[in-house]
Amino acid sequence: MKFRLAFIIEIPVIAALLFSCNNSGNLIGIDHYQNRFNTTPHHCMLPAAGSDTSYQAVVATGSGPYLFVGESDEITCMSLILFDIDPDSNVLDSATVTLQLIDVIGTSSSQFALNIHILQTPWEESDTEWGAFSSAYLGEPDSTVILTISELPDDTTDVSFRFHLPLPWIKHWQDTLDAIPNYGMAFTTDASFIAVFGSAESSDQPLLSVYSHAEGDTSVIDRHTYPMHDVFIPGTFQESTSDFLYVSNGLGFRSLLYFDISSIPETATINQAQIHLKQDSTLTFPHWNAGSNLSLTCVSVTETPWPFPEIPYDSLYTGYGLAYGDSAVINITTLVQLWSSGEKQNHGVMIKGTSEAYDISGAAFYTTASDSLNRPFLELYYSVPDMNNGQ
Amino acid sequence: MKILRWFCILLIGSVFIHQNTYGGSILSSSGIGTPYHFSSSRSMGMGGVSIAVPVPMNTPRSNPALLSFIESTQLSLQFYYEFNRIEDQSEKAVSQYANLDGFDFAIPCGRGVSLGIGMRPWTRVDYKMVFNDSIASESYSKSVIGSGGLNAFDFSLSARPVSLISIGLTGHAYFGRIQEQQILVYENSAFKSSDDIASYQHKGFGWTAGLLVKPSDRFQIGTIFRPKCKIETEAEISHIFSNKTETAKGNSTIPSAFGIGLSAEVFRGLHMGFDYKYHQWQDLTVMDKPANNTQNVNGFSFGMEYLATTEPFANIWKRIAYRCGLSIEPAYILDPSGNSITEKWVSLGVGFPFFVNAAVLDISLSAGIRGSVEQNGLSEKMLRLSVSITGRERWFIDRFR
Repeated sequence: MKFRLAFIIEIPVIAALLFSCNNSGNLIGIDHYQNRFNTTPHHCMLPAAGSDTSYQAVVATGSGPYLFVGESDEITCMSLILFDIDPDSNVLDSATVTLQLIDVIGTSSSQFALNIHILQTPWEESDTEWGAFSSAYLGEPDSTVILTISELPDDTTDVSFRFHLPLPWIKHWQDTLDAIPNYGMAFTTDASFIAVFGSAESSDQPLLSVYSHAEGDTSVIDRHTYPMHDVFIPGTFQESTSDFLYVSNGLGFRSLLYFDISSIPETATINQAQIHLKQDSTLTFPHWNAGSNLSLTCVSVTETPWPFPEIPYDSLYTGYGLAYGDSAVINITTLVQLWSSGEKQNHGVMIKGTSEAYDISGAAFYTTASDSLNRPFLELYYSVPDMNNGQ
Repeated sequence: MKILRWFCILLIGSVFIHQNTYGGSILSSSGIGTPYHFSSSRSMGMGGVSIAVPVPMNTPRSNPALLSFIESTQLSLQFYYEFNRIEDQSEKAVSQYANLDGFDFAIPCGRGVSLGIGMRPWTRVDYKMVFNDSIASESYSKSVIGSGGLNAFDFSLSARPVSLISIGLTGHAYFGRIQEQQILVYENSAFKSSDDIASYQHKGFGWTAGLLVKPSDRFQIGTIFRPKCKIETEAEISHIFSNKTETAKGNSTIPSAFGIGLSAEVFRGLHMGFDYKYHQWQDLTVMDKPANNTQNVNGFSFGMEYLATTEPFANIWKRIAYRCGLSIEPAYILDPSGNSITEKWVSLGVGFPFFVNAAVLDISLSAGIRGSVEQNGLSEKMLRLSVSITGRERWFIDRFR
């Protein structure tokens, strides 16, 4: 009886809660509403400060899946490959290198000469600059092979090139007592397009095949070796000017911008923050795979004044965007939220190519010194709760 | 003790249903919310008449002087359910709300002295609105959700120094959080939403004094007075994406109230009562600022109860109390044009004794209307069901006699 009584009381109340048909929100009686506070949306466009500039960083291009060789749109590329060759007392018969052509940038010819330079100095994948290897590019090649492109590669089919290496090179590299250690080879070309080969980081990696036989034995011994190191090095003979903000993959051009957001209250919620850039489409950069689009990454610079040439940055809160047509938009909502709330200091942003380590595409954007319609700006949608002190 | 044990279990279970469901009256967006400190279910069945109606079987909520009339230790639990049909010139909607309406525990200490404690809602804030708008060609919707309210923990002391007069005093410890959440959601999914919450934490003390004069067994006159009191209010605005908060401290004023009531047994078993209450709502302040658009309120209640007998072994139908009443009282908030929003109620109620009069179940059903679309631009038609259950036991009476 006691339990029943409890249930009699409680069940209708609980049922009313569970099955209640609530007013889900409407404008009924809106005139009677007296706000305790008010979250007000705002929209503004903040111009970039006049300190915007570009600089060139050293980019480690050895980790990408591609090796670029050739020249297109003022960009020149060479690639370095080092095969680890073990000492061998057998008699060398031949040595071949196989490269997989994945794509071409620019208009390819049916044949092109691939120059091979023996490298005389050591190098690391993470630290290669054009200047250190320009002599290899400009000097006479140690060997040249003519490659014929019978058909262009597509998404499903690669074109395989196989060519012989001079046997004395292999002997030198096998001889650990030789005066010139094995520092690998540089590949260049005079072709007016860029050949894209698979690197050691791809499934289409280069292959060195060495064929030999033992003294007094005719049976062939074949050894296949993949690169120990490989890297592509882009270079340009185009002068960068202060008229543009350059962003270039491979070359490592990055742009720095600063937006003064001190007018945004620290209690604001940033609904959206986008950097808008205008692109000078008359300047051409090689583009590959992504058509004419260039993926951009925006990171927060952590120090001012900007300490050239190595600008420190925090990539924890990264904004992404795309340059297409004559403009680029980069979303940095999270970053601006951290700035406005004071959780991070605003030292500006660095815009760089998303594929710096494995691409050579780029773009040039107008600076704050250009025509007012072309200047970079930050478009902000934010809301601010205004305390009304409860009526 | 056995009876009260079951009531305690019921009280603990009720904690789980003590929650708000959104979508009530937009009028609660004003001030400290809509007043929700109801009298007992018994009084609500009589239109709210409560100031001068001493009944030993119920725990008084309005007039602390009535506490001296209880004859045994008793615990009352009260629940209510409300259905609200809201309407303006263009739209209609319904909302429902159910909650524990507090508890009261009273102990008679003998010689007319009684103690009581209780806790109950004092005001209620419960609304939700959605606005659609755009900025710089980006469409967004803003949801405004209000919730919370003030509660009061009461401690009462009552005495009957002479048989004609009872006096009582209730101390109110006010506490509660009133919260308004504003959520800004853009149609474009690339935008992040804003979610800001303004929270007002109130705490403070007040008191109510009560007096009951009983010149005869059939006639009582009572009065209550509650002076205005200042309570501390701490406001805080927090943001979903930021750990920064805006805070401010201030005082809020709960306005004074005065009431007078009469009750009389006009016929054998038929009691009639009348209450007049006055609230000085224009004194209401929140964070030291006067509330907008308020008015002082005069409220009138009239009700009657028929109870044939309290004899525990009489026919059950004769032991049931039958009640009815009506009340009229404007809301303390004026409409945007400055017109008063009148609130009228008609109520019916019954009281079922059980456990040989050791417990009573009171039920009241009230129908009310607040405002009119023509005059105020808003009307609310409400049904309110109030259920209270009171259990009684003798604890100390014999010892003090």
